[in-house]
Amino acid sequence: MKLRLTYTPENVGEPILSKLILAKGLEINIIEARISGDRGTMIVDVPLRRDELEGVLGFLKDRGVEVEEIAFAIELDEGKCIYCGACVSPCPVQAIRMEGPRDIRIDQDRCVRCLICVNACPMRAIRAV
Amino acid sequence: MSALRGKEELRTYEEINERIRAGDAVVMRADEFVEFAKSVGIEKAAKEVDVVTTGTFGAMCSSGAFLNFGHADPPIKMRRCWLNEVPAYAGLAAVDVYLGATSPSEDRGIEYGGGHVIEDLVKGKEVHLRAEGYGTDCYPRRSIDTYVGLGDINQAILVNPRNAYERYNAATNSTDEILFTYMGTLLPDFGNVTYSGSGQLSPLYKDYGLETIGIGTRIFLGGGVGYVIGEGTQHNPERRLGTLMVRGDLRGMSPRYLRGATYYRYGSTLYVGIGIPIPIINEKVAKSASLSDDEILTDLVDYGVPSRNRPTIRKVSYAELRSGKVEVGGKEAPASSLSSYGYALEIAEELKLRIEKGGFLLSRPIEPIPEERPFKPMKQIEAIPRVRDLMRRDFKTAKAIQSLEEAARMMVEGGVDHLPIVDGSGRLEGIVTSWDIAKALAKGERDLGKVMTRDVKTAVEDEPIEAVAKRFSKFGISGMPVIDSRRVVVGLITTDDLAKLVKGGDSK
Ligand code: SF4
Ligand code: SF4
Repeated sequence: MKLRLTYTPENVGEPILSKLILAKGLEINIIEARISGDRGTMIVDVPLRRDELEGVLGFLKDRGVEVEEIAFAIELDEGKCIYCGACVSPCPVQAIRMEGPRDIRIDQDRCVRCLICVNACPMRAIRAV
Repeated sequence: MSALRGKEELRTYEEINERIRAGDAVVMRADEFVEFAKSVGIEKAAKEVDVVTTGTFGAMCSSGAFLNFGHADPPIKMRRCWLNEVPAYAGLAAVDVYLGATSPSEDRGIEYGGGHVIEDLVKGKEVHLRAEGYGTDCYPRRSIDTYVGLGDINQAILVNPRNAYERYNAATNSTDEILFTYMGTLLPDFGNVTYSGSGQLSPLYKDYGLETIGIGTRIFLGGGVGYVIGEGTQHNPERRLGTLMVRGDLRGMSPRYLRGATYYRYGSTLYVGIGIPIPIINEKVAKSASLSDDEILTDLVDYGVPSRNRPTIRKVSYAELRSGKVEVGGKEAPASSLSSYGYALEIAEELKLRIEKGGFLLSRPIEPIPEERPFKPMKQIEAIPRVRDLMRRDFKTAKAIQSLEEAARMMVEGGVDHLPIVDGSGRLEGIVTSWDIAKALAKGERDLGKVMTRDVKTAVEDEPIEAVAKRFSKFGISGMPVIDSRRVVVGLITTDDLAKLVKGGDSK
């Protein structure tokens, strides 16, 4: 399950994620982290069951971190796509691959929903659904 | 053609067209010809093949269309004109306009621009035409509001001042910020490489000697027929950056090969499909037509430097670019194209089929296009101040192992607020400000290495001051180390230095 965490100036300096890992015994994979000066966002992948989610959300919210589950998928409109590749190399986790001159694939499991490709596509052929 | 170029030694245009009409012409796509020449040798390949077809499909910003709407009743002399809220240039006769591909709409901005209007017209859609005039005795009307489609207007002629770049720079980004450019999205720290152009299928590269491509060359343009009408703007054939000016009737073109597009935070544009047949009239032409992706090189350029003279990192071949991985900044970065190789192939194939079926004849240019043309930068009357003009060269640096007290003393003695931290060879590791030090001392920190900021914003000597000023305000900082390509600190620039400009004191 992928979560987007937003830190505020009050808590950006605290090791909240480490505390969470220790408290809940979770394996957390940090996919992307952007912390600049006083605030930051982080996308993490946590192997969670639905019934465990509540506890984790509560833990983070108590410490002032905003949490959002990322549930949408990234979809390619084959009718608009021209197989240029403008979306391929900017994907930070290489979830988009060109398999041939006319074959573009998006790997939903790898994708961290950063939306970079949605903006990078000059044909507006990629959507978040 | 001039006596030196375009010698029809192996076959003449008439002979080729005779064979096309008879259905006997031997036509190959450029990628096929590359392989064929490799296996049988260039001489034999040149003897056997009549025509090599090329293709490219990419963003061509210097594109647009002349439109003539016919006269309203009472008539109007258009002074300003909009098509689907995209402004078109109306400084021509009464109802002639030029609609440029990059013109953004006034309601949707760059998400919908001139390129999109052209695509919509070719799709058969009606577009909203609005115009204003100032009213004259012969053109009394002052405004018009109507809907027109391609079938309703007199002429709709695509005239593109600069298309089909022979090759183009590959782009990467050395800075620590993501950049949105006309070369697409560039991730920080050499995170990726983007490029454009179809390499071994590129029309102009396949005849770089300009032996056969000249004024009057019949081409595949946007799915229909077009013509080369001259050299393109910024044509720079000596650097293998030749360009073409082309024209063709929008009626007869296909929305498959003319597509409006938007580059995020940059602008709207038009993807144009162009295919040029290269008649193999002599061995020189055969030779350029046989060049493969690994023989076609281009410059890998750092778009992180916001100056005209962006540094070239190294040469890179289209074969390396198309492999999807390029070495840059000491690691392998993913590489991908902005133009479509798949469509370039399709266009070369389509042109090949049209020639094979007798539906597309070749034309001898009536005049060659220049083989050399100096490419000048813009003449500017204001001197743009650059970092090197204002930065201080006498600055102090410290090593991470030094103590906070030492650092504090250096700053007080030097009268500075910023202290770059460097390694043994002078390369930047971090920075501390007097504020950092004050805070750290209050907390009882001792270790400079712990206090310094590692994620340092930096500048380079060649950068215009304006770009630096933007970063100061964007990140709320007051100083940046100036580094060279090896990250060695060569200077320091602060907001105080920028103030010199305003005072006009020592900037000249
Ligand atoms: S949203 Fe697009 S760019 Fe971002 S990770 Fe997913 S596929 Fe890659
Ligand atoms: S950038 Fe858009 S058009 Fe190009 S390959 Fe990706 S999805 Fe297709």
